[in-house]
Amino acid sequence: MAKRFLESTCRAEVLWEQPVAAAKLQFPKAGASQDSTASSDFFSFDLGGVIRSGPDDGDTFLAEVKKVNQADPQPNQYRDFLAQVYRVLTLPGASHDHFAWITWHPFSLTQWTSLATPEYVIHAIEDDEGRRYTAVADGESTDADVARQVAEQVMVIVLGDRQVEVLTLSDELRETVARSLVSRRSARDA
Amino acid sequence: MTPDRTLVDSVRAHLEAPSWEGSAEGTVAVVASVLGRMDRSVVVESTGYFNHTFIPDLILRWEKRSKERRVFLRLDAGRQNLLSALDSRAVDESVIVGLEDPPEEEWGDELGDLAASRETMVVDLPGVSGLQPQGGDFDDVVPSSMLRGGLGTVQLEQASELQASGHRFFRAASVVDAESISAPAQRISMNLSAVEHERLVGLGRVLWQARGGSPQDFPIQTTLSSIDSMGLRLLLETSPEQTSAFWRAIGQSSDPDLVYGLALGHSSNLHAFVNANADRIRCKALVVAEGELHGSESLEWSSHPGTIALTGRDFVAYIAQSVETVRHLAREHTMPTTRAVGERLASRIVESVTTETQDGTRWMVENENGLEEHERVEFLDWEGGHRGLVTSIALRVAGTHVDCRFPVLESSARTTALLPVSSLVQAVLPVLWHLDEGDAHSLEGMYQELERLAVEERASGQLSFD
Repeated sequence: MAKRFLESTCRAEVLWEQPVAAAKLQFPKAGASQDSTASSDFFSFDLGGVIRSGPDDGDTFLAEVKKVNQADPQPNQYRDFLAQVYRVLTLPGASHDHFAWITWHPFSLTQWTSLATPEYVIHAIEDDEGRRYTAVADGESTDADVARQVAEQVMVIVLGDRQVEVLTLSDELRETVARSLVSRRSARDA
Repeated sequence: MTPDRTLVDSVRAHLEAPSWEGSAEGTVAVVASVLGRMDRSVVVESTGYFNHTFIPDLILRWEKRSKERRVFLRLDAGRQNLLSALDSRAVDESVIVGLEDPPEEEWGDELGDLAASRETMVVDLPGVSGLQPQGGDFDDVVPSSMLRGGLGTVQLEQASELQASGHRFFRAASVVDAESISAPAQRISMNLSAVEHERLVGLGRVLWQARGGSPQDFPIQTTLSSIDSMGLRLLLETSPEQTSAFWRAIGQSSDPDLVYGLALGHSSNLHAFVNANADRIRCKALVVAEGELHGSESLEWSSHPGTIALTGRDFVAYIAQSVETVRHLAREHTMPTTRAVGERLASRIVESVTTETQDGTRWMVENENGLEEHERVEFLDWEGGHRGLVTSIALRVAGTHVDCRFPVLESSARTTALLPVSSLVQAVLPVLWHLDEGDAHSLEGMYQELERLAVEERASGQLSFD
């Protein structure tokens, strides 16, 4: 349903999703040795894709999807997510531009406005040994510039079933939009 | 059927490639290629999208069919995800190809029923592999039909059943075995739209009748009155070697002029079909061009966009239903002498002859009722060819005026009305081009065979297609 929502915006194409494209959405933790194959030394996102049109055209995104009906255990999972984003941004060769936390239930409401701030990112990583292992190599400390980057590139999206059902493109509009987008791309590629 | 892992492995290799863009493009290209092999007349176009909820990855188009079909590739080919996709109606009347192997959940009957009700075919990669033509007789028909109108779910087991049913159906039709036709046709109908099923059964009926079966005895009711362009193409492309009587019967069951739209190039079936129906295929223009010298003992028919061509040892004669279609095929050609043309005309009805001398003087003789023998001889032999070279001749062929021209850049004949190809070729080709002994003999053999077929046809009412 998250994929359906994202693609209904006509700005996002979800190219990759678990489990078939697992390798494209999986990254090694910073603390793991280079030759480790242990699954606990890796983390992955649920979806990956590309932003189309506008100033962000061609940007890539990774997304974590929580189709849940309660806040718990999202606060901890979200902080894990921030550590993972931090890691991706420091990983050589892994170039991604946007990171979305897509949930069906809000969480950490008392801290809602701070969830995407550099301070929250640093605190989330430094506060927990597991997240440190994910984000920074042994002996290193968190970098304020990278934390700022994380805060700028993260977005939290709260969805509801009815919202996706009623407020995304209708079948009729999908058909029209699909034809228009395909012919636009064909014209561009010609 | 042993699963062919080639497609599954190839798709997996592309999906595992590190580059996002290259991986998606490679996957789409592999699937496009195998789908294209299911139907030689389909054009598979990539949209540039991959695994999108409502924008197809591929669009299937056919030249002679206004309806296109969309193809959606799905990384998540689990039952729930596919049910949800079908529920949304975004994928109605399409093909969904599941890239997951094996799918996480069993697909089950509910998914198959829903897909069929949406006129959508949901197929996994082993299913696509199982639907590939195997190279046997009529093995293209089921794959091509499934691409156009397949519905329900198709995994390896169903694909194997469909292929086997197709094989049994056409085998029964070709040996006129009424008892063995209905069951395989019924099985195929479970995964095929009514329109495509009708087409497939119609093709079986044509085959049945062409093999001597009576139309009344064909066990399935069909509404098709004759074989269409698609059916003719399928027969010509997939039929094993057949007798000329078979192709004669096919020509009677169809509109033989459809051959102009097939562009099959050189094929033994096409040659046999044209040879056996040259008196039914109609034309208005013939252009002869010098061809590459080859040692073939016999003339050969081929088909190209809008034309059919007869290749001899040193020429190619292009035949079409309009001069415009073949005009560009004319090559430089020397005008013949009056003496040469005189020999070529033999007993043909000649309405007029025009010649031109080097200084541009034109001479002409005409008689709308046809030149008398003495008029022709006197004109063409006069002063040992001093009337120059022949630029044009008007003939009367089967009551129709045929204008033959020999300008330097063109050697052609055009008619005022559609004529049978056999009539035009027989009357005009030997006039426009000097046929060597081998080609002349081959042409004569072709006409004798055509005459024999026509006589047999008149004697045998059962070959008619009502």
